[in-house]
Amino acid sequence: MALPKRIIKETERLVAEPVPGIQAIPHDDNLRYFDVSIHGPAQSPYEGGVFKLELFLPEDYPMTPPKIRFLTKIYHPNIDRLGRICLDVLKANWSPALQIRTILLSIQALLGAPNPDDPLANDVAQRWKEDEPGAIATAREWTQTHATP
Amino acid sequence: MGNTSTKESRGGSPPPHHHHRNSRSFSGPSSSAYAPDMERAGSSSLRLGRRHRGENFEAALLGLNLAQHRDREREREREEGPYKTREERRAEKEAERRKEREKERERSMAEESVDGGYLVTVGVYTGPEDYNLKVVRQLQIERRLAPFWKGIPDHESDWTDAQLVAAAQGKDIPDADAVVPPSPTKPTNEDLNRLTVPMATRSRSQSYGSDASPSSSTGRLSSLSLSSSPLAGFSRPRSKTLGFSRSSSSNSAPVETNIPSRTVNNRPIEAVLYEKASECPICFLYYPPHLNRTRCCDQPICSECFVQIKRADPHVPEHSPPGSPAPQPADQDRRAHAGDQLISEPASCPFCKQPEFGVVFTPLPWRRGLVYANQTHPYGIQQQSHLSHGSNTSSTSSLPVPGTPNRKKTSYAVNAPEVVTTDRIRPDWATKLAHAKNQAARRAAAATALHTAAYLMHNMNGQSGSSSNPFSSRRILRRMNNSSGSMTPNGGSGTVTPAAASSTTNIVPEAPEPAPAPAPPAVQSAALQNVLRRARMVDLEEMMLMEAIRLSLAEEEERKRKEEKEKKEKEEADAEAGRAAARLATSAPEPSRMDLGKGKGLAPRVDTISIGRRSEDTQSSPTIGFGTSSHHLKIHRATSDVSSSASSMKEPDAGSSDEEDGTEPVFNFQSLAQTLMEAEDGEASGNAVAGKGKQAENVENVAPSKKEADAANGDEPDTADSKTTVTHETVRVLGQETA
Repeated sequence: MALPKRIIKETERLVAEPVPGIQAIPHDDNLRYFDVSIHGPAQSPYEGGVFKLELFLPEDYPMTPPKIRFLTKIYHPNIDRLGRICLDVLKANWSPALQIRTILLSIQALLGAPNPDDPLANDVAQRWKEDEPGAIATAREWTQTHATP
Repeated sequence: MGNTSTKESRGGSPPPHHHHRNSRSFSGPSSSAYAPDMERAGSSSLRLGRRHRGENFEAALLGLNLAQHRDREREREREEGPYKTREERRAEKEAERRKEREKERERSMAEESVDGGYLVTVGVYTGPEDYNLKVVRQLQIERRLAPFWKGIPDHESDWTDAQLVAAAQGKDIPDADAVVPPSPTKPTNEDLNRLTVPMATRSRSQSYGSDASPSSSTGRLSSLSLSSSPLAGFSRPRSKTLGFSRSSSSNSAPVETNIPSRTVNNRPIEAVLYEKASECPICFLYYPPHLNRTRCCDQPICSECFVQIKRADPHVPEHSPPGSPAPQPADQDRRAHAGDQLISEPASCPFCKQPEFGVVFTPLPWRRGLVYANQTHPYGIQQQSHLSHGSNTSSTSSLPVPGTPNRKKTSYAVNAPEVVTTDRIRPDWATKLAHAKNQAARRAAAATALHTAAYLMHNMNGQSGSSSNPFSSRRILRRMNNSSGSMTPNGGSGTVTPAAASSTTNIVPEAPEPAPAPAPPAVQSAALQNVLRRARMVDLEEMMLMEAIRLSLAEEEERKRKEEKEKKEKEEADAEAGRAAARLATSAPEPSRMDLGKGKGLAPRVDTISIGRRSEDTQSSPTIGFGTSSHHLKIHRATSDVSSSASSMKEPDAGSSDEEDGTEPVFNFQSLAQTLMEAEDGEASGNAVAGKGKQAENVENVAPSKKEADAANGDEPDTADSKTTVTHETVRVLGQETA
């Protein structure tokens, strides 16, 4: 199956004009499968961490959103233990006008702005609401432990 | 189906040996020895027996129903069981469809074009084309939606015509100094001038011919053909006219005509189109700059991407509704199906997320390829005139207007005539939503079906135990039958023809039943839910129904009594004549049976049988015309339950007649005649036994009571039922023979 021009172009552009703090490299054997790393945004408990993700472009991309998952353990109310991400643009609010680049930027923004009101990891969200400093401390801790190269 | 047949097998079709025995007992003893017992039976024990039977019947019905229910479940399972094969079949079909579509696409690409674009997708997306092909095609020919131009992967603004043409044709980009292969050296301004002149409509075969021999066309045509012939070397053949009728049968289909030229202002159409190509922000391919624009935010989107955008599959509403969801037709659906939550929202704009995504296409200033000669759409007409204007000016200015010309508005209302929405090219979304809802409902209902059934069972046991209402449980059952669709023609009432039901008031107990259950032929389990819901109303309904039945029965009795009185006088004379025959019949039954079909002989003969229960006879007589035994059973039961007054009215009569054998035929004859009267609805009944077929039926109707009486007599109480039906059979056979 020929790779759609869009994917080729997106990949090319990701390589040509990389987003600061975000890297996405396609696998050689499967150009729909990307190794992604995202730097934790500044002024967030994830600062200093580099988080690895996997990204897959389904057959009907860009009409359906890419599938993205954190591989690095992360303490975040919208990311569960399996690394799945609760982000509207990855689900119902996906639009074919969005791209790998924009979606990764969204994820980076999510790290900077956790949303415990729409949780995926309930325990984390609970803690975030009740004891935010504590939760942030844990997140920082986890970043140190798991996301620091 | 199963219901009816089982009922019949239960009451209707007797085992053969019974038949034999019955016929023996039927003809064996003399009627005089019989009569007193029969009378007794008719008044009390017979009715008891009948009631008992009714309950049995009820129970059987219930059992049947449940069994049937289970059967159906199983059947459904069986249907769903071989998932694989079904999937496979679907896959095969899909593959076949695709292949066909592929062929169609090739043909269309070879033969059809609209302004340098195609009428079929050119393969940016590989998924199924689930939009309405016809609608899209029409919109494109009307220039309300951009054609499927070929998207080119790369584009340089300084490309020469030759490079542009090559790019548009998917060839390697030649050097900048290359020339367009068959260079359009024959400038034909005329063809431009004539572009707006609608060509004569040609059929497809004709278009083939004209393609091969341009001279066969009109002068104008030939000039056009000449102008385009230099481009014959292009890999994309010149477009041909195609009768719209190929896939569409719409009678008012606009006539398609073709403007076959492939040059614009002496330049190859591709060069003109792609000179200032712009990138579609979704598929990242370069297209002519005349792409569709989103109605809301004026973003370009190619048609290929546009047709991919659709409503999300029906889903349960999100916990946080998206901002400002405009009211939509789906809302009504949602309300109609209160209970199931599935919704389907119109696609929103991929760029600005505004709901109800739609695009606007500003047509090119010139036209090539297919156009509608007689555009019916007002908007289209307006556009066309506007366009022809534009093309004239452009031909003088000798340059096509690049970009979107005169775009004053930047956003359109969703219902603006120019806007093409995603729902418009997928008109079936409502059907899909309904389907999804149905499926969800079915699934949910199936889950509760068993529970409901159990609940019902419990309820009914309680009801039939406590309430004296003989109908209640049965009616619930009947409802289940009704609502479970056409699979179970419900008992007698369902098969009663309207005429029969209305002409014979005795059927009233049955008739109202179809009315309160207008259940859709929906899923049975959904029906079960309905039953639950209705159960609350049942009590009141029952009361009302019973009252109605009582009233109508009383009325009927009144009427009958009057009739009888009148007839009595009339028939006294006839009866006198018939008495001789009656004597014959009672003393020597065998020969009289031979007489059965012969009119006069029949009446007394039958009456000796029916002595026991005159009222029963009259009651059951209305079943003429649909005299299956199951009906008898039901009606007997209904009437015996309800019309105690009726029977009490009749019984003295019957009793008196039985006491003296001699006079009996007179009375009985009356009753028979009356029966016939009813059946014939006021037809002259002096010779009541005129119609042979009717006789036979009457015999049928009358027979059971005798047999029941027989049973009550103590002969064979256990086989009362079967005997009864056996008699039916016997007499029916006789009737048929004679008829």
